[in-house]
Amino acid sequence: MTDFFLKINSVVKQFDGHLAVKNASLNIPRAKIYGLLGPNGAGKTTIIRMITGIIAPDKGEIRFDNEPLSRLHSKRMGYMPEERGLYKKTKVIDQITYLLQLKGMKEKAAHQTAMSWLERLGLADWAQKLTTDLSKGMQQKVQFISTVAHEPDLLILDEPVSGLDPVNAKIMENEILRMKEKGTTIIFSTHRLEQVEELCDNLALIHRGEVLIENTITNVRKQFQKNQYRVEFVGEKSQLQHLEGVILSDVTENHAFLELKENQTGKNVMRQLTDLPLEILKFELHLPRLNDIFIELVGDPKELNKMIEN
Amino acid sequence: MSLFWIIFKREYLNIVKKRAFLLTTFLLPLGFLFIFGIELASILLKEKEEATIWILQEEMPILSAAMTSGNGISYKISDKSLDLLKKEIENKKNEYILKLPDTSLLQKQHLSLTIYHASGNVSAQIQSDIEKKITAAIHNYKREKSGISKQQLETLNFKLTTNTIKFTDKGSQESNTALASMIGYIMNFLMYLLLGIYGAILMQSVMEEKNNRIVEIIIASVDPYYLMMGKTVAVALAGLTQFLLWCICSIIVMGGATLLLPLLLGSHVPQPNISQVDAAATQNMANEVLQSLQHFNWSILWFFPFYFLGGFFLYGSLYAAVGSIIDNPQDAQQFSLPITFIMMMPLLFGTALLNSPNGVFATFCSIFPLFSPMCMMIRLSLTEVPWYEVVLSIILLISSFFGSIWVSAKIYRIGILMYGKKPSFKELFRWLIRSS
Repeated sequence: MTDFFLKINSVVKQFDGHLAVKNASLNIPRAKIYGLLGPNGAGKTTIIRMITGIIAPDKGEIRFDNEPLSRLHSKRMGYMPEERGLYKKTKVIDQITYLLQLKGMKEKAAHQTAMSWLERLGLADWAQKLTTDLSKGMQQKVQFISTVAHEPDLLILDEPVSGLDPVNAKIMENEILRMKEKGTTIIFSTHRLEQVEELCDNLALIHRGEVLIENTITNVRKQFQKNQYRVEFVGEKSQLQHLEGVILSDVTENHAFLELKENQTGKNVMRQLTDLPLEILKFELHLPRLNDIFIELVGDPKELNKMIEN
Repeated sequence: MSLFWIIFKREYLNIVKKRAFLLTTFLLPLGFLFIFGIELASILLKEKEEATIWILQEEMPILSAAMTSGNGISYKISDKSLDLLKKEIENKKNEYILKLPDTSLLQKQHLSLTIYHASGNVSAQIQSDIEKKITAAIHNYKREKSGISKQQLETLNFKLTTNTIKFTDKGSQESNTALASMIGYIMNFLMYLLLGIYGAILMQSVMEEKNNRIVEIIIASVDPYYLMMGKTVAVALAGLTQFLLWCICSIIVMGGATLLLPLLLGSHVPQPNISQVDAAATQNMANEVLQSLQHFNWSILWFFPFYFLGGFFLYGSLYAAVGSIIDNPQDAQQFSLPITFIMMMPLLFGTALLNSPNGVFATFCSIFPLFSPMCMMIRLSLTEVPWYEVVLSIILLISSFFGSIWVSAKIYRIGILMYGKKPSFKELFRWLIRSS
């Protein structure tokens, strides 16, 4: 059985007559990167705020490392909200030290940790500067340091790389992966599908306050695969017409998609292919991209566009 | 609780280390001293005015005889007609024509004279010089007409002064009501000023945290209640620090004044426009003020911190709540106005309290928690307030600031996470009654 670090059971949250989260359940495995996907207003932030203890659910239960969630757990969490926030007129080092102290670190230790992180991310020279003097990318790094430097067990990142240039985004991604290696459970909220595909092990799709799917990325793809194979070949493409029990689609000069009819197996098709006067370079099960899955799930392509654009 | 102290420490140092704090601490008393100094200087250094006043010839020179030149004002009698004189002084500065009252009307109760001038204005100094001399002349004239001798009149003269003496078991003490009123007024004003300034600082700081969005990070670590209280207590103590620094400054300044004032006034005597008598009187008055200052029951100052803290938790927490529901400084005005207005009321009816510090109204105001921080300080400065009234007012103040903190915390908790939309008062009320 999977070891779940965080379990959210049938949680409901209502704001002034508006149901932000309807009966959501999520199971977040330990030491994995968990993608929380959904368009703006889907309820992601509300769920995150309930995990961080900023707001309490109206109904349902949240379990943190097999204990009912309480304020005491906040020291073991690191949270970087989507709307970044730092004190403008405070020195970088004081800022990080203060936020780490709020996470239970002693002043001296917090100061030392902050310094070593600043050095590692190339910001040591900026430690005594005010936040307003920093570029946006540097501010993001400072924000990131104050989120992770106390080595939390659970890291919650709301849109962690939005607004970052590719170099800094890569640095951040590497840091996130490093945290995962060390055993940190990471919740990664985003509306960018490619990021989820790249970084996450698991994902949940939230839409209008409900969890539409929750699974590992591989399983989600499997779940939505349509018994479709992709073949790469050299030779005359019309030869493919001789295959039995398949429907061809997207046939080009060098590749084609084959959807298997009922009772047909991949093994059988492969045997047929080798009999054809074609050189077969590749024959693989085609896993759908998340994009396709979401179009299928959400149905309305407009919703998906909104999700991607936001 | 340790998180509370971390927040408290940061917020407190954040205010106290700011340049603005040092500036207000030292510049405000200096500013007051400066204004006071200018006032004093303008009283002491009356500038001599040069003027020539032409007196139109009169039939019976009773009055013109009394117009003796002096202090830069010279009186000259002219036999020219008014129209001719007018032409002559047309282009001249500091020359005036005086038309004396008709002497046939001298028995009347009210007389009027006329001053003609071509340019500028007739200064108050010239007017009073003329009026003084003529009044004295008419007085003399009337006295002689009535057959009263100078000596007789002097026996009728009479001046009354009031000495107020407060007797306690430690002996009698001269008290000075005017001084006590002034101190009461200053206490009232200072309380309002500190509550207002530090309330605004707290509101600003809450609003900034909200707009910076850092608040979300902090309340993910700390309960919003501790954040609000940490900030409120820090700002309150910063205000108190300022008060203490002001007290220390005042003691230094007053000590300096006790030493320097007699010297200053003493050296002032040779000034030509102050007579010896005037200088002596001024010095006497100064000594009297200094003495009353020494006799004043300064121990009432101990109450100031209590009433300030009580008042600050009451009003300050409301300011924090306002800071949490607004997004920009413009809205700050609108939402904090009701609080500021209530806080200002004791300033408006302060005079009533100064006049009858033991009245029913004053007693009520000094116990009613919204006014007691200011009003009790007025009463304490002026009168012996029964201990049970002080205790009652403190108990009421404490219980109402708990109420106010409760209300504010509820609003704050929700307000800091709301963006873009200002809540209506109806919504605020709903937040209050909603269970947490």
